[in-house]
Amino acid sequence: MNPTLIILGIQATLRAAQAGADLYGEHARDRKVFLPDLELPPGSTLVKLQHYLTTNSQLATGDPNLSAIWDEEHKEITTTDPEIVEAAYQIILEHEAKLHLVQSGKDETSARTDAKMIAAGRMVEQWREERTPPSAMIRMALTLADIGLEFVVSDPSILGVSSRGEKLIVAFAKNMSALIPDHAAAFGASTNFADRVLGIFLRAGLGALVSNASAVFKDEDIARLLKGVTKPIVQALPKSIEEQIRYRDLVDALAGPSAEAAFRLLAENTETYLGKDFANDTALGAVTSAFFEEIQATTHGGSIVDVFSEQGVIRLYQAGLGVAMERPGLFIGEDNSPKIKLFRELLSGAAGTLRANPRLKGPLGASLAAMVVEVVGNNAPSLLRLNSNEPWEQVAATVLQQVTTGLAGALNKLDADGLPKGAFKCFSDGQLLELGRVILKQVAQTPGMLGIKRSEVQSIIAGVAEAMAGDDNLLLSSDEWIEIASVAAQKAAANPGRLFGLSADNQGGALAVTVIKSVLGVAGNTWGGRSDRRPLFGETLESALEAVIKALAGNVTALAQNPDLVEQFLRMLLTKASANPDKFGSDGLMEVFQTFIGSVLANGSLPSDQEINQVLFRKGA
Amino acid sequence: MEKLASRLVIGVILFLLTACATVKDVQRASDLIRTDNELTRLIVEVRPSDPTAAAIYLSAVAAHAKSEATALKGHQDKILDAIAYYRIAATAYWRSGRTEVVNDLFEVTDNGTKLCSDLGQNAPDRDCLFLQLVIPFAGLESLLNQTGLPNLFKSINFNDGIASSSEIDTMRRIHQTLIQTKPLIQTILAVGEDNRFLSHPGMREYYCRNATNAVASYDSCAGTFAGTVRVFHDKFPDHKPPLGITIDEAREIRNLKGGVPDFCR
Repeated sequence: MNPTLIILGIQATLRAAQAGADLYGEHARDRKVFLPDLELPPGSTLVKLQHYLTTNSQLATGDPNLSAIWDEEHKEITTTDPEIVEAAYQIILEHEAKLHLVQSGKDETSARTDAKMIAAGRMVEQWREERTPPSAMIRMALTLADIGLEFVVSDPSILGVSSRGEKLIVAFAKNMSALIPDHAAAFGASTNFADRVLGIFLRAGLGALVSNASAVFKDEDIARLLKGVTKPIVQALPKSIEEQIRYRDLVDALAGPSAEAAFRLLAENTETYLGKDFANDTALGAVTSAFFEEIQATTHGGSIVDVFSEQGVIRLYQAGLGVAMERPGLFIGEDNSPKIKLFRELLSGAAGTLRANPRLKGPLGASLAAMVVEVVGNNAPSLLRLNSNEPWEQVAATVLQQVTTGLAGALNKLDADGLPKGAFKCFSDGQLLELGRVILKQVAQTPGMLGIKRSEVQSIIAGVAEAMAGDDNLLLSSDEWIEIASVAAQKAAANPGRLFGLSADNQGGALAVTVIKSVLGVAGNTWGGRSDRRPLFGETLESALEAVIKALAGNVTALAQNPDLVEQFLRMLLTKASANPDKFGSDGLMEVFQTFIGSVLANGSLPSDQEINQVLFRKGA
Repeated sequence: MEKLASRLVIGVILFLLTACATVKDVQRASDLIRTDNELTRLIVEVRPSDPTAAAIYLSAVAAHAKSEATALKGHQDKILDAIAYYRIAATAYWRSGRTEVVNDLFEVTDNGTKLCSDLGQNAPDRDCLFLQLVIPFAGLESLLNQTGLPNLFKSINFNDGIASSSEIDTMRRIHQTLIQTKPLIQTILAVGEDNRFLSHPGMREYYCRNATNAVASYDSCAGTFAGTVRVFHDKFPDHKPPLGITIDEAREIRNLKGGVPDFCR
């Protein structure tokens, strides 16, 4: 079958919906159908003997007992005596039994499946050989046309003449042969499966066009997508029926979202880097093969889907695809072969980490893992330059372990009511994720902090989490804490080891944690609700913490000698503000705090009234 | 402006009509697939364990397929669908095994075969070849099952020197049944002369298996009959009691014109 003809056929189908319906009708008429066999009654022994001897002349004439009752010329039995007939029939049965023993039979299991149908008739196709199209190609073409027709009805605008939709379907038609192996006969049971997976991807592609008015997919993009993403899914179809059933269930659940994820990335890619090639099919194939192989694997009584949830594994897959597009070389070996094992180990390693921290299982943990994969993957070249002995996937696994351990440490500390302590009481999963994201974002800017033997990431996360757990009065909202975490991570990344120390085990003693806790202590001690007009909460407290964290990156000689310095400074200001409410508003308080915190930490001297007034008057002026 | 609006309305109506036709066509194609699947299920899964229920359900499938075919046969662009439904109806009536639907079986087969004939070379291979076979197949099955022909020989033994009137009657019944069966077998063999079988492996295999079985079944009975007539004449050379069938007559019944096609061997 000429591919051009198929493409023309599909185009015509899309341009005239009626033609598509006709094609479907043709499929309904021409597919294989069951034709029953004749059911004729078995004959008497004499009739069966007659039949056997007629069709087995050699036996009839060779065996003396049989030849005695057989007229070979007329092919007739010469007796009707039941005893003689029965004896002759016994000879035939023995002969048949011998034949059965020497013939190698079909094994029982495979025979059983077809036995019923074979016994009753046969499946027969409609057309003669010369009029029969190659089934795999035609099936796939029919599928493309069918799906195109669905979209014609639901969203006609994307499937006009030379439209984006039509171009996409044509690109699929041009490249669908990539799914058929070189030896087409080996396609076998995969034919229907490939057809289904192709349909899933086309639906996702057309869906992406519907939801993104500016997306346009090039032929080459679709070629790479089919070869790199669709084909590995088809190829991973197991041979045994039992495994196939399980795999088909998984694909039913995950192939659609996987295809959507791939098209989403492709759409973003074409928008962001117009004209840039869409990754490398070997790298995409490595990620996809690894993903669909790993979801079938069972460890500790469950698969990665049980750990991350379906939604979560798709997020992880998308992260892997993103890295493969951005840095394809990470997934390709020196001999140009796909590094499938790499992403599998990453997936199984992430699952192992999250199994150990059940609070972070499911979509939350998967999203954290996905963020780590993205951050570490995209920084992999820098990491490799810094330390060529550390594979990036192992670094990613380590970072994920540090992030989850850092967060889980705080989340697992519960108060008397069984709730997480401090600010974590109010954190939603989304906010926890955002917390992880802002910290990773800052960390990414200092790739030197990422490493198998480095623990800064865990120190920062554990430190911030420790400080947050100390906010018993909920003086800050979750979003404000996320802002503070971002600043803390930024400064900690710029000053590795200084703010949060290098010991993940003793975060309570880290500089930033001590100071944040002391500020929270002051705010908490003076907190009596907003009616008391205490100014240190919410936005003001957030500003104070940000100011103090930024100052910690500077000269902290005095603070090192007197850890209570920040607390003393704040108490002094709050006392003055309380005594002179007309002079100090929250803005004034912050202005003074931000102006002097650097010098307080450096030389330990608190500002005089005159110096404070100067700042307040300057502000007022 | 009014003209433009009316053009738009006409355009929309045309689009909707086209869309409706498309939906109907798709629905019919789906119904054809479903009906075919149901037919297979009833024959393969239900009939072996519950033939009574299967016969009722098969009659219902046949009636549905017949009504669909009847509705479609008048539309030039739907003839292929009509033939497919006639094939389903014929199969279902045949396999229901109910004598009261014989007329329906003839009706759907005749109608389907007529449509095939009208299409000439463009007729769908499998469906049209099958429609030619279904009547002789159904007739052969019915005749052999109702008369019990292959088992009638159990009660005959002329070697014991006795030819009872009952044995003579049975021989005459066998003779009559063979005379009725022979044309059906000849019809089946005549269908095998169609060249389409040469390049349709699936249909060829189906035909050969069934034609070979039909011929073998017939030949075994006819051969046994000829042998038994011969024994009768050997044991009772004075033709008393009279059988009324000569050995040559018996052997002549066995002879079939043509035989199973070479492509089946």
